[in-house]
Amino acid sequence: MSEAHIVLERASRWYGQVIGLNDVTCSIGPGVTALLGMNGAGKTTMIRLLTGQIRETTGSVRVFGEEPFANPRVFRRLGYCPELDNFYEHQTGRQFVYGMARLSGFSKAEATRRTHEVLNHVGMTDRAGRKIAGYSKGMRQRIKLAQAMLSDPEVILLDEPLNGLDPVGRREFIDVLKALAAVGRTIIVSSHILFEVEQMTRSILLLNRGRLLATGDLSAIRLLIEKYPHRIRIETSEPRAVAQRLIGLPYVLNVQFDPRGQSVEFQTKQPNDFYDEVPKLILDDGLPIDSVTSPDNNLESIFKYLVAS
Amino acid sequence: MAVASIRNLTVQYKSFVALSHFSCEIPEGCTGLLGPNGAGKTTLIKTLLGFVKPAAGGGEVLGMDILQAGRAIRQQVGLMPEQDCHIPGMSAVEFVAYAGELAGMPAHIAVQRSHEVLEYCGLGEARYRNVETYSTGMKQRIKLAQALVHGPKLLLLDEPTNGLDPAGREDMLDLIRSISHGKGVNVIVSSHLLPDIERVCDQVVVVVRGELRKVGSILDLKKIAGHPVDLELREESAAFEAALAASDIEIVSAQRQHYRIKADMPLPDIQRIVYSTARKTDAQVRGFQLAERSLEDAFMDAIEDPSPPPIAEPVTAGGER
Amino acid sequence: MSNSLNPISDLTYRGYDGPLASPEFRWWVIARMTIRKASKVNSLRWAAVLSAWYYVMMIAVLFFLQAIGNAQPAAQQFYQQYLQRMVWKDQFVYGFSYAQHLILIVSLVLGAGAIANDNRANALLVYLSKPCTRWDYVLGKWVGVFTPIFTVIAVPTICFYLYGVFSFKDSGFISQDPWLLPKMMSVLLISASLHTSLILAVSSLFKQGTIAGAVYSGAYFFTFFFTGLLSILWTNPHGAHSGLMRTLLYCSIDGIQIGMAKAMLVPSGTLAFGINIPGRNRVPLPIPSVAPILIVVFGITVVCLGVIWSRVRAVEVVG
Repeated sequence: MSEAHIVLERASRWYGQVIGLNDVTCSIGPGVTALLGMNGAGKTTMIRLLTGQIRETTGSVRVFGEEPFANPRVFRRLGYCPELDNFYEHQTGRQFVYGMARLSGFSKAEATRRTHEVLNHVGMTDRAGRKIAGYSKGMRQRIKLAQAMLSDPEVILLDEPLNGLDPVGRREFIDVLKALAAVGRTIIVSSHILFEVEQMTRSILLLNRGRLLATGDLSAIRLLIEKYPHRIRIETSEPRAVAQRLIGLPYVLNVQFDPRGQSVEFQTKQPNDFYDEVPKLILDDGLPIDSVTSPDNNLESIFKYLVAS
Repeated sequence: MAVASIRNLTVQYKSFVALSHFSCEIPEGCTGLLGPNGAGKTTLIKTLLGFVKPAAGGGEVLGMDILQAGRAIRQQVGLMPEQDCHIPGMSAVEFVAYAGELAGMPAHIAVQRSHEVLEYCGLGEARYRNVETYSTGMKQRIKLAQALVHGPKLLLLDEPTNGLDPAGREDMLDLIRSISHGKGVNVIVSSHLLPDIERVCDQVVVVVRGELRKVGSILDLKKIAGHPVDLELREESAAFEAALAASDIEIVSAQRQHYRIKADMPLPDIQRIVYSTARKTDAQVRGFQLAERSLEDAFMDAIEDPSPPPIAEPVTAGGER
Repeated sequence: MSNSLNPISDLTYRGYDGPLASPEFRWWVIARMTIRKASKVNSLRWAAVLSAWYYVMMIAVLFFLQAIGNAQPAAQQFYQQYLQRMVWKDQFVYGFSYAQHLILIVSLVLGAGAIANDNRANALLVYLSKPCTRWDYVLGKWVGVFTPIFTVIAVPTICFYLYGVFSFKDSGFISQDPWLLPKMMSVLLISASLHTSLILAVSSLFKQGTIAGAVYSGAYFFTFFFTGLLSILWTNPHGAHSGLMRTLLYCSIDGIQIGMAKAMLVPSGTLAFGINIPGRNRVPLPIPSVAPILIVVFGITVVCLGVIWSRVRAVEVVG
């Protein structure tokens, strides 16, 4: 059974008076998990704790059951792809990755083999011979991912990995990550770009002002956000008729007409019952409905709701 | 009336050809500039600012020749660069006022206008602080403010939501949208984030490897031939799939509870079949809409396509080989 | 088209349709801002005031001697003899020479960060996205640093000159050398432009004002000690006087300017503060000839300007 590689138990970390992470309890297992939050929410602190750069002030942080701080046993099984670019610009991509491999303790032969493997995996084999100074942003991101994958880690942390990639590069990168997740690795991606995150995973970890706001599957979270009823938008040439038909239902909380007169939006806290009612409109009453959608069933809206409340 | 028109432009840096035989007309309104990294978008922006000395070709921006009137163009154009940039040692008000003075505004009017623009960009009391102490979001707003201060008719935005968290992104996109619609300012947004472009722009220009690939309105680009339908059930249902296959509806793709279906019949018929099938197989339909190709897919297709004719014909035929 | 007066004002964005100057004199805007920023720095004001110390001391000495002379006849005789022996142009040379270290501070404060900080903050992108060119930027910065430096060295000189003209006309202030003021002014102009070009060239090489400043000071003091050593060797009665040493005597940042001042004004080698004891005057360092030293100074200025021009990498150049 897949056990969680990472477990935080009431972990807190503060810097003087500034709180980085406040009493966070969660566990992260195999698959892709998105680490989300506004700037200053504590994502960087969490990543630093998990990669063993700093130590928690109270509580416990366990990666593979051990404390990650200055712990080479953990580092060997963990890959980190940071946000900033701090390369030795005069090196070529291959030299850099090879250097990292040797630093990890691999023999020359082993390091060469692994370098070749990871460069292949991220699709940089043909361009690895060029100096890093001439690399585009996308190529740098790939090199970072390559060095993170050197020791075939079970956990990979990526901080804003898709920054600066064009849509083609993004898709390829996401495919690589999904492939890794499919074989049981734990991948944690921290990103602001919510629509990209949505393509990668349904499982999120949302931080706000140092506290854990939500964790788990997206749809499950959506169902539980009590404060914001589900919005369901029906596009139809007869909005009033549709509204009239549905307004009598006890779980319909709000009806809003679009000023252009081509759609009507309902709000309800019992979406299940509502969706059971819609087929009756189409099949039994014959109302002309063009489309049925839910505008706030995406990560961006959920994020907004959670952070606002 | 085109905001900018480029004719047969070829730009090369030493041996590298950044733009080759590039021709396009950028219409009024809000235009998105799309393209993979290294495609020539930055070069195009520099050209629009009147900086580049092309190997061949020419063009006009706001009626001014890009070869001759570089400085005059830059007086009417505002640039919000992608990289971090500011003038050290100044508060936001000073900085934006200085930018205005550099553009030619008299000093006292520049200060007035600087306050106005900073207010509009959402900087309150923070405007009296040194720019170097700002967070990413505020720095982006300052960049926008210094681009707007001299009231340009054309605004060039290079990755405007770079580094912003979701709330900041929304604010920035709202700002851009409100400037570009109804205020008479033409905007060109260059970005990798297609949903941003979709939200803000009405038409796009796609540049790939130094050539123009597509010019067209977003709605046109998103249309898919054949009108497939996107369907979302509460959960995956094999019974539903089987029953649907039995009727004349083809399931083009399926991802967990999301299906894309296609059929050779009018939409209301498709709808009736889908809902009755769902009723029969005890599946709940949660979403039903005409499939739109996402701008991302349209973009991918534009990149892969060797050289299709642009959707909106420019004045001179582009893509000459 | 006209609306009836709306009680709620429209505070959304509005375009700017006001006057826009033509793009010709942008450099003056840049220069003005540089000067404005500079005048706010306190350390600058102190250094500026202190750089005039020699002139102030001279005025004090003269005033004091005159006062004592008026009080006591014995002192009066001494005072008159002192005035007779006074070589005025030497005072200007001393005033200029002794101000050099403080002018270093002034130019550091003004110029070390001028281009370096812009490099770090990527400010050139802002400048060039407005109707400015590289030329505007460089000229603007140059004038912006030149003007305060020139003001700092010129004002005390002019004040002292005026004091001399009004108080010591009969003691040969003007008759000794009628061309003193124009010569001094040209020395100051050339000196200020040399300082400006040097500090801006160093500034353009770095991304941080502090490092540029440190490098410049390092170069300044290193060459200063070098020429100091050479002058000690030269004035030592047992020291060698080779031709090479003679050329190198003035090859430091302050040395070359002092050398130029000496070349233009040709001082007589009296001691500081007007002490003129024939026979006990110090053996002066050889005064360089005008043409070569001016050529060197101009050469250095041009090289520095070239460095600045090439280092200010415009956005036209693709990285």
